[in-house]
Order: sequence, then structure tokens, then C-alpha cells
Amino acid sequence: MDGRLTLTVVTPERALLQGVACDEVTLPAWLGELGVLPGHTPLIALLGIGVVGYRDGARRAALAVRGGFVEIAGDAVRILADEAAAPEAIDGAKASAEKAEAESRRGHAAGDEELDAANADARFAEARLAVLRPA
Amino acid sequence: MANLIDIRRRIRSVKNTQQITKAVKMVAASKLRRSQDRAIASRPYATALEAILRSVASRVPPKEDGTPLHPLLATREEKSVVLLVVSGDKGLAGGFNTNVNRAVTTFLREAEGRGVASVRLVTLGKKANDFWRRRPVEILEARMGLAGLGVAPTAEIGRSLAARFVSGEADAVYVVSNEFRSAISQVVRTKRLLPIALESATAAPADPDYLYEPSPGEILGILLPRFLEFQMYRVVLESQAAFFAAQMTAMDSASKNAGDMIDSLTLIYNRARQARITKELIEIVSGAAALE
Repeated sequence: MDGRLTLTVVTPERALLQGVACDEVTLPAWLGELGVLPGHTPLIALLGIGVVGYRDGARRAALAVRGGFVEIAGDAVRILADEAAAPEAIDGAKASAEKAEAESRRGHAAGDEELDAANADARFAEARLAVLRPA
Repeated sequence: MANLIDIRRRIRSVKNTQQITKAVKMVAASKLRRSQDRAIASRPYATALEAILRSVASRVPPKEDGTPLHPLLATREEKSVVLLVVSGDKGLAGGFNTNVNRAVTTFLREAEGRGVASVRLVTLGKKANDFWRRRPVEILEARMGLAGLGVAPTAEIGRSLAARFVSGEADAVYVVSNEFRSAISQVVRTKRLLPIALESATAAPADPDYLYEPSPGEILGILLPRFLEFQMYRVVLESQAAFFAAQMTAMDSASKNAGDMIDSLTLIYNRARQARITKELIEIVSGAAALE
């Protein structure tokens, strides 16, 4: 172990995490789940929709993110999300309702664009629910 | 000598006005606080986004046929220009809206001088629309109710401007808005939004050798529109903060002026009252003297 990661998560509206030290980060990259340990290759990638998990010693925490970019340089992991939600800001009932609503929209979506939007909404709602559930 | 009742009435009316200006000032101060916080909260994202954009842009190889890397970077001769005018929804803010409209007038005159065939407006905020609607300029879109505008609606505006630019309907997009300097200073600025200028891209310092997922070109294709959308968000945030700052200063001096006016009116009132009492006394005294 040559060091620890520092994780930063920002959205246009606010900074959720700024330089939080942790040992491991998992994030939804464009092409699939990406695990980051200290000493990772520098990387710039698109961010998908899902759960960003980070571990500090034995303590684990997670955030839900939706789209954006991730930059890994040295031991700094910077996530620029379009939207992000910390567990304390998530309303479980609301997320479930949004999920159900998005899924019903998926059922009768006209055109690819609407289908993509419904899918994205459903996945973001799912990610928020996943963050709420204790791992 | 002015009538006592009249003066009293005027004092009361100025007091009412002062109450309003004071109330507006307080509201503006608290809203200024909030929009300043929002502007500050968006700063980390701004820095990070610009860093990524620079790094990605420097990695995208220029195309062989000399075409720009992305449609949003295409520089064309400016024949048809869209000007985004960001004003406030309300008045009582000193020169805030007037300054914007004046800057637009300057822009129109200048554009004509440069040989731009047409300038069309997209107005944000009620005041700009009210002003330009009655003038011989085409307004493409008018949006109002800027107050609580979040990321999504401003991104929408950015997308619609980008669509106009890419389709060739506009050769360039400019924005006129108030920039927030401090609580007492707002500056109207005219900036070019599109095509996006990547001046420092080529001169980027040697970054670590990044891996890109997907390719730099594809990332750039997503980054640029996002960058534009975010710029829109910043412009609206800044304009909001500047608006409340302008309103606060304007209402502060209005309250002060009202206070001065009340003081001087009170002085006149007291003098008039004194004069009347003196006159009455003289009448009584001289009446008594006549009886002796």
C-alpha cells in the first residue's frame, strides 16, 4: 500500500464529498463497474448511473450518481456527476414511487429517446434505493 | 406656509414608501445570501470540469481535413447571430435591467457595423422581454421566472441554443448578463457562448498519460454540450446573485433617501406648527390689549 485514495464527488449544484480519504472506491463507469485501488492508472471515463461505494478501513459508505465524468489522477478520484444523492438525502418512499413511475413509462414509451429517459430514471431510482439498503 | 395637514399626509406617505423599500431590501439581502451560496457551491464542479475539458481536448488529434473537432467548435462567418439577454423578472433594482438593455443596444449597433445580417434575441427574465418586445428586433424565445431556476431548466436553454448553432440557424451565440462582482458591484458583460473557445487547450501542460474510456473524441462529444449547459447555469446564477445585490443596494439608498425626506418634512412641519402657535398667541395678546 503506497497511499490512500482521496475521493471527491461534485455536482453542478454542490460538492458532496471533498477529498475524503478512503482505501477503495467502486464506481459505475460507462462500460461497467470499476474498482479503484491506490496506484490506479490515470483515467478519464464517462460515468454511468449507479452506486459509488467507498471503503475507509472497515467503514463503508455509498452514494447514488447519475451520469457525468470521472477522473483518476494519482490517488485522487474526482467524480463529476450530473446528479448525485447521499443516503441521508434520499427519501426511500419517493425513490420507490419514482421507480414505479419510470417503469410504467418504459412500458409505453414512444421512441428510443423516451425509452432511454425512462430507463435512466428507473436506474437512478434503483441506485438510490440500493444506497439506502444496508450492504 | 404649507398646510399642516398636507405636510402630515406627505410624511405618512413617505414613511409607507420607506417601509416597502426596507422590506424589499431585507428580502433581497436574504435571497442574495442564498444565491451567493449556490454560486460558491458550483465552483468545485466548474474547476474540475474545465480541467477535464482541457485535458481531453488536448488529447483529441486534429482532423486531417481541417474541420473542427466538434460541431460546437465550428467558427463561421457571423451572418446571423443569436443574443441571449439575461435580465431580472422584477424591478426595484436600480440600473440592473437598464444596464443590460443598454448593453444590448450597443451590441446591436456594433453588430450592424460589423456587417452581421441579423441579430435575434432570446430573452431570460421578464424585464428584457417587456423592453424588447416593443422594439424592432425579433425575439426567438422568451423565458420568465428565473428565480429558483435549477440545473435542468438552464441546461434546456443551453441545448436549445446549441441546436440553433449546430443547425446553422445561428453562426454565433452571445450572451449579455450581469456578472456578480461583490454585493455593491455588478458588471454587465457581453460574452461569446458559441462557438466554444478552447484557447488554452493546445497549450495544456503535460498531463499524466490518461486512459480514456471511451475514446477522447467521444468523451469530448459529451463534454462540450455539458460544458455549455453548465455555463448557462453559471450565467443564470451569477445574474441572480447580481440582481439581488443590485436590489439590495438600490433599496438601501432608497430607504436612506426616504429617511432624509422624512427628516426635512418633519422640520418643515414643526416650523409651520410653531408659526401657527405664535400667530395665535399674537392674536390673543393683541385682542386682550385692544380691550384695555
